[in-house]
Amino acid sequence: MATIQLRNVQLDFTVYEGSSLSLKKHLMRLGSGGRIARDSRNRRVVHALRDVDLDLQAGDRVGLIGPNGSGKTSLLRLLAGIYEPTGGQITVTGQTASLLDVNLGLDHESTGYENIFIRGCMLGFSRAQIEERIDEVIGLSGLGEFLDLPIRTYSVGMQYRLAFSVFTLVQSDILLLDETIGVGDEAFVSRVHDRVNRWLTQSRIFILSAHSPPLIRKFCNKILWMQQGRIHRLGPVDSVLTEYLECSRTTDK
Amino acid sequence: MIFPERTPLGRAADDFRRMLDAWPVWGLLGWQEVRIKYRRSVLGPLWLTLSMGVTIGLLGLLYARLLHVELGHFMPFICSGFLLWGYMASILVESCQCYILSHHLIKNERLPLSMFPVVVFWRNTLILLHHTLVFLVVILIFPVGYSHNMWLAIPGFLLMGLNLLWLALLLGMVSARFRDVPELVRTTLSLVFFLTPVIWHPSMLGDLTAYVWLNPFTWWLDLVRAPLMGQTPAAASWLFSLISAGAGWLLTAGVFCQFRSRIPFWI
Repeated sequence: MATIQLRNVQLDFTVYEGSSLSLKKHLMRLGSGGRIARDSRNRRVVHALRDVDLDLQAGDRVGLIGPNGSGKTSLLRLLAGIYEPTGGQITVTGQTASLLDVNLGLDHESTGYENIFIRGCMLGFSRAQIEERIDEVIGLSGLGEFLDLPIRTYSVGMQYRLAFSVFTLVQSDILLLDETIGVGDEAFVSRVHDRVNRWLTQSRIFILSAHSPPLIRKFCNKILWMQQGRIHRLGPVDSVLTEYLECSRTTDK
Repeated sequence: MIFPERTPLGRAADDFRRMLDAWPVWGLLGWQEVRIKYRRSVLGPLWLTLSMGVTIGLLGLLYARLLHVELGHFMPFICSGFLLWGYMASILVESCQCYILSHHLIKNERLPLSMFPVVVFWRNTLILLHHTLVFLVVILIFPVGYSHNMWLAIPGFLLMGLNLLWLALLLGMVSARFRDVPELVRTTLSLVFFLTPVIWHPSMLGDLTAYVWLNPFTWWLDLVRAPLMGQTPAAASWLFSLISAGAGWLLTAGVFCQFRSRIPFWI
């Protein structure tokens, strides 16, 4: 079973700047009985998500689109359990895994090989579980003997390969990816796409945040279009994508 | 995952449970930094131990002369005091940064938030274990003499740790919200160092000795140092430390329940 149900979900947060970041100023203001409460300029409330209602079932492969700052990443973090909503209800059944930033948790002083274990541990795997499937990870990364070098000597592309390859250990009901599967050289990208296709047969809900229409056409059967923290459209790929591309073309002019 | 069926307390408790389950993660993260120091040089973190040893040796010689005390008795005293003070102070200073420096990890991965102060605690405990070598060398040269009281250092250390952990979690959270706190903690601690009986004995204060007990670091230090010197810690140390652990955890748990979910937005 894998379902995602969001009811009237709100996500607000306060951004603190300048004097509102200082405990000293905060205490002085309390001491003065709020008479010098001029800090309203230094904190801004951001409505990252507003009135979001969403129902996803097993088999949904959702492409998440929208301009920068429209709430795509906030929505993914919410579904991944990193953010908690400030209002509304979320019900998620099934195990969730997310890859929101590939270079996460790599230790630059350790070798590539050691990093497979460090990262795998963070993903919740035991040493034995990782050893069981390490050949698969090494094969996908295509890094060969570079795995014996500390990864500070790697190029960004190689670090990315390693990080993505370790993530493929994950098998979960719900998979969240943030614009991460289009990076690397052609050979690697095609291996990644094979792997994603295999995931799609295992994972029951798949959400991919991406700016690239071909990527969405390839992997998704639905599109969720975010606009200013709200769901603007949710529908079949072709019609929504056409509308979205037209819309972004007119706003560009 | 269902939200908001559970109360903030329930979710905070869940965070703690996940932190305990994730012991391989914080075990590894804490160990990693120590391991990297090993890799870069043959002596590894023992360089730190060596410089600590030299500092303690010189400090001991100097203050034994300044304070007109007998060196054989004073050396183990100042050595254990200095090591334990360094342990407490670096946990508190580093815990201020435990959320701020991990913002990348916290915003992109679902990890228990109570884990980050534990990483700081664990890393410093490993470093302290390296530093005990200095103490062993000192008591080889200036023997303290075995006493059953020495075993009391173990429960004493645990109670001190319990106190350091709530402080670390609280300071981590407050520092994530108020960015002037890390600096405040650093300057306060360097002042408190002189007010804590680390390099001097409380009895040297004469009629002011009683005031030393207003300082929580005095209690926590006494819990471990007195047994190492073959004495029993003052009853007051146990009593006050138990009270501070209880009250501190109550306060910290309250703050954690209330603000835990805001941490990813603060950093």
